[in-house]
Amino acid sequence: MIEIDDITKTYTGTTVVDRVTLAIQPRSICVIVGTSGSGKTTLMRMINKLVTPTSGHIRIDREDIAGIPAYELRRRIGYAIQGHGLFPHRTVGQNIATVPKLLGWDKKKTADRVDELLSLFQLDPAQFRDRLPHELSGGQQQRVGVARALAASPNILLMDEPYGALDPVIRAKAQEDLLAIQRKFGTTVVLVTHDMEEAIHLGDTIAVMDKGKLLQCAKPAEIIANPATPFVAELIGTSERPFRLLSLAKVSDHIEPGEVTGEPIEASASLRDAYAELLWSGRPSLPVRRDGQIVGQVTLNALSRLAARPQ
Amino acid sequence: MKPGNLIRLAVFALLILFLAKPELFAGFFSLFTKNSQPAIYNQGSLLDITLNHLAIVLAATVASTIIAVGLAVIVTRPFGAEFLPLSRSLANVGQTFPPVAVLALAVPMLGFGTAPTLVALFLYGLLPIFENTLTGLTNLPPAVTDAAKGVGMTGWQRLIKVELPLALPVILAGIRLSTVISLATATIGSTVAARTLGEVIIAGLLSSNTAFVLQGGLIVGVLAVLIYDALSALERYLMARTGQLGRAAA
Repeated sequence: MIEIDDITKTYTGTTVVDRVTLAIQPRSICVIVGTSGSGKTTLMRMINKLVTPTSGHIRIDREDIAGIPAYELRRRIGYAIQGHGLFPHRTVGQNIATVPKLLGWDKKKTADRVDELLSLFQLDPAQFRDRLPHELSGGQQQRVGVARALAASPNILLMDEPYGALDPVIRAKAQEDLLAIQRKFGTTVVLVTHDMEEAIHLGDTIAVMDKGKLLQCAKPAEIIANPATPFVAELIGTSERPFRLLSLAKVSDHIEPGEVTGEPIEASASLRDAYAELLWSGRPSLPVRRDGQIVGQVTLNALSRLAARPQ
Repeated sequence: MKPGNLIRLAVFALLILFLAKPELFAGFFSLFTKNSQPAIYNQGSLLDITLNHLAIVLAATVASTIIAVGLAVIVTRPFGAEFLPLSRSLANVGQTFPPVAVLALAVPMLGFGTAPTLVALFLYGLLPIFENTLTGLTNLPPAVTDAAKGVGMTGWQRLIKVELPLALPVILAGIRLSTVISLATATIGSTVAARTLGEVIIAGLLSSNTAFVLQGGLIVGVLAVLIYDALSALERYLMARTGQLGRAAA
């Protein structure tokens, strides 16, 4: 649990973060959304003491971080940033081994962990371990950056616009990887982004910031249905609201009995994908397939009702 | 092998041959003598003088490197930032002082010989290395320095493991400039009786023997070009290894 308690940060008269109070539940993904200059990155960087708050407290598992030496705290918290920040003169393996080495792990344990993480991110250890970062593609560098952040199995992972530099296809893949890894390790993730789409896709909770103030912190469905201020509504995009709402649920949760023919949709797809497919193919309903079996249908009528504003 | 490297190798071989057996070149250098002057320097072994010249340059450059890099590291740490302007002006003073003036001032204190030359070369070599180390340490990619902090490295760990290795090619460029300047400046040391290749040039000037002047000048020139190229190659290798070829070197 990360408790941000009445945090303010002022730089020579300008208030960048203004009395923000926020609790981040353990083993969840909290996405901080805002435009540039909203103070979202500053707020995140105070969690690992890269920025010192002007006033207020931050507690991690009820321990005030003010009392922990910065370098010690940072070794316990994973940190992945836009543009990956890999050390260009060190190999992929040495980059990932950075924190284990700082913590004094023995060679065998470190090497095993490096190979485990490389495999986890679908990078063949034998092939990638001894390469230098500049020999990798952007997507691979980003994965190594996250692998480095996770090397010492931290409970908390901070991510600052980690996918900002990636093209849409690789970004979608990286987001799926993050969700899978977060589920596997139960890491508490704090992710900063300016992309509401990304926030709704990844976040268990979304915190919206503007001009240093926290405007709203709630579950994605709540933010979409009841934006606290006009700015939050604008960030979601009024014309996007029904589709964003549909993107939160899976086809598998809304299967109706009934037999229809035609090209089926997978039960694991989002309702938004199902809706798009219904509209595109001009059909009133789609058969749903799970593990190769047709298990029912999903209908345009049902989806239209689900896309309406929750009462 | 590239033609440039072939030429460098040939020139290096020629230099070694000349230093080992200068009499082989007597025919060539006698073209520049008049009235049956000796064609080859005859007041000492050219090899010994060259090695001594190199030793003085090496000692001065090593000393400048240690002090300049040390100073640059101190003034780029938070506790030393106040001394940045002061150390910059000190290094600048070292550079604006003509080496002859340093020699003249050092002789009364240190006597004739190698010592005042070493002091002059040391002071002269400080600025390029200091400036380049500063540039190297302050122009690191921000994402990398941020990551170094974020993973929990202490200040010294960041310096040793990240900042210095990444700044190394730029620092090396400073050492290269400093070495080449020292190689040339060391010849002046012979005016205060340091045993350098300046001795050969001065002997030639005193006896109007162009052959001596040429020999001293050519050896210094060829050494400077070869050392410059070798250090440039090392920088390029380091830049390529760390994927920073795009970064400008001074």
